[in-house]
Amino acid sequence: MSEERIIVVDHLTKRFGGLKAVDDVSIHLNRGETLGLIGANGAGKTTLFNMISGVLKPTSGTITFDGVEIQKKKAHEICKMGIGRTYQIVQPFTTLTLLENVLAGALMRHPRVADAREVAEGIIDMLGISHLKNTKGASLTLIQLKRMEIARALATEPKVLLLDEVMAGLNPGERVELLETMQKIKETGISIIIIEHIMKVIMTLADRAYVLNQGCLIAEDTPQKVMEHPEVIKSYIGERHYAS
Amino acid sequence: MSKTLLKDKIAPKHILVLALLVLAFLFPQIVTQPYFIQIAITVLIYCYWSSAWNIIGGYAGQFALGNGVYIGIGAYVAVLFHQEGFGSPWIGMVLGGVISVMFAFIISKPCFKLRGTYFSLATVAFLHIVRYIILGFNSIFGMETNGGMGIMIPYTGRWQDMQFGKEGFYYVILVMLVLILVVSNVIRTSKMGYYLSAIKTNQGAASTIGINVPKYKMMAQCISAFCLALGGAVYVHFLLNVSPYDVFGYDLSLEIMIYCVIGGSGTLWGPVFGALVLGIINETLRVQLGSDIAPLASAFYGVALILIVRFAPGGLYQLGQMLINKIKGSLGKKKSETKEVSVQ
Repeated sequence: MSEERIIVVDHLTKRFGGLKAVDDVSIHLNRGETLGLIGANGAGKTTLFNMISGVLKPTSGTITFDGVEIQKKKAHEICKMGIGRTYQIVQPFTTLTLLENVLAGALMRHPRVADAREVAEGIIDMLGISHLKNTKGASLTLIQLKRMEIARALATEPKVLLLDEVMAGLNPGERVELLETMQKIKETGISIIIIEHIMKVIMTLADRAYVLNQGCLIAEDTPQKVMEHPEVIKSYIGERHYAS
Repeated sequence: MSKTLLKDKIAPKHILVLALLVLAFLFPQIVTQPYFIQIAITVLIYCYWSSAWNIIGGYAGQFALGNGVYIGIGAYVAVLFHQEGFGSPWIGMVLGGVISVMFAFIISKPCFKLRGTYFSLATVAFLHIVRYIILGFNSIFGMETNGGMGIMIPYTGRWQDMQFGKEGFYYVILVMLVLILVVSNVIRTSKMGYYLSAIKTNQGAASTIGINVPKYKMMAQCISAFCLALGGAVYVHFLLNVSPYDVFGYDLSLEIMIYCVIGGSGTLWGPVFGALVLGIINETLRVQLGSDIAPLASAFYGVALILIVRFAPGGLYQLGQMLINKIKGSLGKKKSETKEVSVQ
């Protein structure tokens, strides 16, 4: 039951000129599962996200979502099918308030503004940011923006949520707060893929993890086992430390 | 209880709008000199055009610099439709709107793939192409257009021919302005309005929350083109003359854009505010100082535009709002201060 695959990425490759940012990667996400995606900077994690969410088109390979191939679809179509995402570098609508940012996301499934507002208010309430609802996107702090982006993605009512380094740039206190929020989201039963450098997040949330290195998949296992994988230690901590 | 509810619904803002509307409707009754009504009509049509441009330039944030082309298309189609004996210019006006939308669709389809400046330049290029076609030929598809001379519209004074004297034109254009403000307000407060704001600030993020970016930009452009065209058709019947220099002029496109930006693009009242203030200054200068001053007016716009873009990107309208809030804030402070004093 839990083994039903909601996303299947099959032999996916993305070239930027001579550079293979993602090189023949095959991964899958089970329904209701939280998947960790780790790897050093430049490993191709965000490129993979960009292809799954339709921002970039792959050079070759296929992405199947709920049984439908989506690698040629546009970003807004993929969102409509049920994949929501956040950005590593936050992308707010700066002239809109926090509530309006989230409301804009809710409008896809609730075309009436009043309905969308209700949905948006419920979500920002869950994420604990309702006191900021009338603050313009341009005036929000980084952690507030990160929460807003998660709320905006959730407002599109996705089946799969792609979270791209939501912890980056936050201080330890804020990380603890956001980790609690993410746990809450996980408990709703939604399928999640997380890109993260903070291992604690992966260890706490992920059921399974993939490791990418220079565009290639080098490991797949439970988070604990993945951490012990020699290739992971090599690419993450460095060869010298591994040797000693 | 019911009183407070009513109070909540009727804000001072609404009273102000109502007062403005009443004033606008009474204007020709109070000020009867034709000269002032003439200026008022010109200012009103600029208010209307700026509001129409605001839909693509303001709400959607796409700087369609050459969008005056749709004013010209609307004007020429309405006049030629009547001249060639197909029927009333009223039908011609609607046809002009439809043809403008078709052109807007064909032109914008490839142009929306371009971003920012390139999109603006592409719309300007289209304006020039149409202008030179009209300038270069004396007849188009067998219909007399007289090139640069333009077409004189024979005076009949019949409303069927879209002619109804100065006062009549004043009211027709005023009603059109009210209608476009209603349309703008519906767009602004609906799904489309939120989507356009999202597209304006971040196209990438907009597409990943399910917004079909090209579709919504196209809708804004087509609505804008349609409204511009209707205004063009009516205005040339007021002038009783249509010439490519007037309706396909680069100046006209620029003026509409400048009024909108200086007034406050992306707001409901900004374009009206900008066109009112600048239109009145412009018309007064022209009449008082003669046509020699026209280049000076452009220089004035240039300076004003730079100042606005640098110091008040929200335009005069937002500047006014900020001032009001400041005054309110300081008044509130004083009130609370006096309260404290009285408590002591």
